Amino acid sequence: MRHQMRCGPAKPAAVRPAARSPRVACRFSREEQLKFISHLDIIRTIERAIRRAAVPVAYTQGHNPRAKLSFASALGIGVTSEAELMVIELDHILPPDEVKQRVNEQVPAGLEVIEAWAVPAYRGRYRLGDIDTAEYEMEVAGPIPEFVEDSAGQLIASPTYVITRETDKTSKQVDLRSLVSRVEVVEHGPDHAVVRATARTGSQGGARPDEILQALGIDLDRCQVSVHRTALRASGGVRAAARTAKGQ
Amino acid sequence: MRRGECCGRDPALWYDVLPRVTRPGRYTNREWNAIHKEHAGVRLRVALAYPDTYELGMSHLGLRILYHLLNERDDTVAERVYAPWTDMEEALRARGLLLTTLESATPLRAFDIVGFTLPYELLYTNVLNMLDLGGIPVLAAERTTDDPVVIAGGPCACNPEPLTDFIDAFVLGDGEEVIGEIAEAVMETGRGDRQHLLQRLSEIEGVYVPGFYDVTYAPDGIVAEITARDNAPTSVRSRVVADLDRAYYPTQQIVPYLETVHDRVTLEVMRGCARGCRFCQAGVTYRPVRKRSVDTLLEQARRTLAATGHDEVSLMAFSSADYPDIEELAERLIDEHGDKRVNVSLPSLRMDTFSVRLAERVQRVRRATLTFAPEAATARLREVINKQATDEDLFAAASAAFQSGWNGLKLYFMIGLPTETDDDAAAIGDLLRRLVAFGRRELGTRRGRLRINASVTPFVPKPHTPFQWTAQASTEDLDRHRRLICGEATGKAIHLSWRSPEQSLLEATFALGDRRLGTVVGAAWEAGARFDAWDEMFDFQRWKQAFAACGLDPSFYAHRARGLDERLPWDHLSYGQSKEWLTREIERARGAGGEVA
Repeated sequence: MRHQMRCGPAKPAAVRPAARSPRVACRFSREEQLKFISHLDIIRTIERAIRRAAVPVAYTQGHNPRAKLSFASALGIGVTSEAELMVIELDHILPPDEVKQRVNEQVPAGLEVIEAWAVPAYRGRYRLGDIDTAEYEMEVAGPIPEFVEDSAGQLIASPTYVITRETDKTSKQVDLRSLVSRVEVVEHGPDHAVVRATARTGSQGGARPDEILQALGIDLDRCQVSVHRTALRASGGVRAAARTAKGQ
Repeated sequence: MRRGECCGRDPALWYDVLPRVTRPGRYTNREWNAIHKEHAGVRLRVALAYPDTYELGMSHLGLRILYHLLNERDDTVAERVYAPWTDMEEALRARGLLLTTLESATPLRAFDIVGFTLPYELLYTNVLNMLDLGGIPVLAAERTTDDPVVIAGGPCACNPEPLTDFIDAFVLGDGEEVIGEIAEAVMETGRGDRQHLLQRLSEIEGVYVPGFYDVTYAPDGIVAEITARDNAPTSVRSRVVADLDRAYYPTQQIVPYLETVHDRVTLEVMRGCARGCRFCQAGVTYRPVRKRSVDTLLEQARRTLAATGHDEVSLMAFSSADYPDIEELAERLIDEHGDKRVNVSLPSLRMDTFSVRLAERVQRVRRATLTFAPEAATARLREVINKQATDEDLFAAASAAFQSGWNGLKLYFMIGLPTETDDDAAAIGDLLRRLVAFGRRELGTRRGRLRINASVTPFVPKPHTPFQWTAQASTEDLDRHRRLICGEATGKAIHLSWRSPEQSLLEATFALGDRRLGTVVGAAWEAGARFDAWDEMFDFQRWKQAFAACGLDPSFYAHRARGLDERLPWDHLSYGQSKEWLTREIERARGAGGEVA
């Protein structure tokens, strides 16, 4: 087939670079105007921005090559963030600041690479999948129960806090307490509150911000909520955490 | 942007509604290359509306062309609006919010022109719904100088009679040239005197203002006379862009966030089709065949890929393999963009080995199946419909596909075609079974992966085609033919999908209908009909009640063969084909297949 012919015979092993492809990690924001765009749609948006920006991204082999991009924990619809993480695998070295600048020229308003840094080759597989903890700041406008601070204290003090997760067909019992390590009511009045929380996130299961607010007795149907993700980190591994990679 | 800014949206919408509806990204905006203009600085504001979801509307090339073409004018702003899904509609109504455009969140009623694309008859209730949600009187007769002029174009404009109660003016044919003439007419005349403005619009070639025509009916319900008033032309001729190569094509196209149906760069290599299938409306209304040059297309691909970041180029035509330079075009596209991992796709394949070989060379991404349209399964019936392809072509194409690595085929068939017998229907099942046996032999060790998908759609007679005089098959006949196919086409490799006879009946009714059907569309909409093209939304009972309430019978429109001398509701609209030619074609069909039902 044509594309195979164009690739030509396999290159001799000696010419191939021995080191793994250079990688650049980016922390990016998803702001208010893009908060209703799903994680998968954001990924596609970034892929296209990278193509427009002519960032020399590496591609997978095979019939349907995909850009080698990896993303940390998906961000829920309706949530803003300044802590999203992705790793771009490059075909050849490009300084992180150059990557950041090129991508930022091509992403729509509401998406911005805040910082970019090279991922050292010795780190082996750079595992965004190790990221399992997120921090949120939640602003609630609407009726706030007086006991909201007590509820936060009780949630953390109790050994378990079982909630029911309903989908269209199934319902599942989940221990919310085991997924939340910190809940702090920063300020609150009868009609507003600001809550900060640290919770599990990622493929191993996590707590959703609205579940935490509900556990505080807040009736979300009667409230307007703005949730902002302020940080992502790995609880266990030093290898993976993005901020650790920068030595922070 | 922080809390409180809401992207120019109503705070209730932003904080209460959008977090609770499905796919809220349908209703936000700021996609890459979307155009945001200040309304204060322009003379004309146009809302371009599509009566289906964002994902479908954003896949429509015609609307993209009009959007960018209008926005290239300094004096005009054009913005987009799509049909809100039912949950969004409920929320808007519950809160008293109006349907707005995406770009500036302006309610539809504040525009000078609201222009609808009419892709499909079963979306008519959505047109009414969008007008109503946008704060515009649904009935054209109730609109005042404060309201926009409501215009509609696209495939269904070729018999727009069922919508004449609701639309002020229709545009027939290609939009690229006429849209500017309409814009200028509205700017010059202003909206102060509606009657005068409509008169001015009716002077533009290709613009049909139904209010200037009186239709009378004979006692049997057939149109008796269509009379033009107020100097409107007795016959409205569709617009044709003579030189497609120089026709406008937008390269700075909007890149949607949501995955749309056609999420790629679409190049229109050719407009029109020379094949002459007698059932095909597009084959008539998009005449003559016009093509773009390879160099023009390469330049368009280059610019659009750079501006969008897409990784796929689709070569669109009614039959892209009929484009004379298709090989050169495809090869040069691959040469130029292949190393950037750009895939080339051919959406409409001819049923032959040439097409399959071509697809094999250019389509890097192997989709599961290749698609062909045999339409009918017997040589006699194919001759009736003038589909110039044989079983041999199909098997040769299938063989080439299986050898090239495809494991499956998708086939389109129609049932209820004029003169179709039970044997013709059973032959579809038989053909599928033979194809499975053939495929299993050809695939050898891969035979377990064989998959033949067949989509079977009831035939819908369409205006301006030689079959416009024929009757749609009865629901009973369609059901019997369907059972015959099911009886023959058994086995796990065959997957059949069906269009419901009820939806096809409505499609035929509105395709062939007259002005009296406006009351039915209105009644069904008031009873809650929305997104009738969507199987899960379609409720035939609701439509039956609407017909009964209006004293009209869908069978009168769909199941009745028309005499060649009968006055047809669309006789005053012309796409350039003479009645003599259409008559000759229907007679040839009769000669090929016996008496046409």
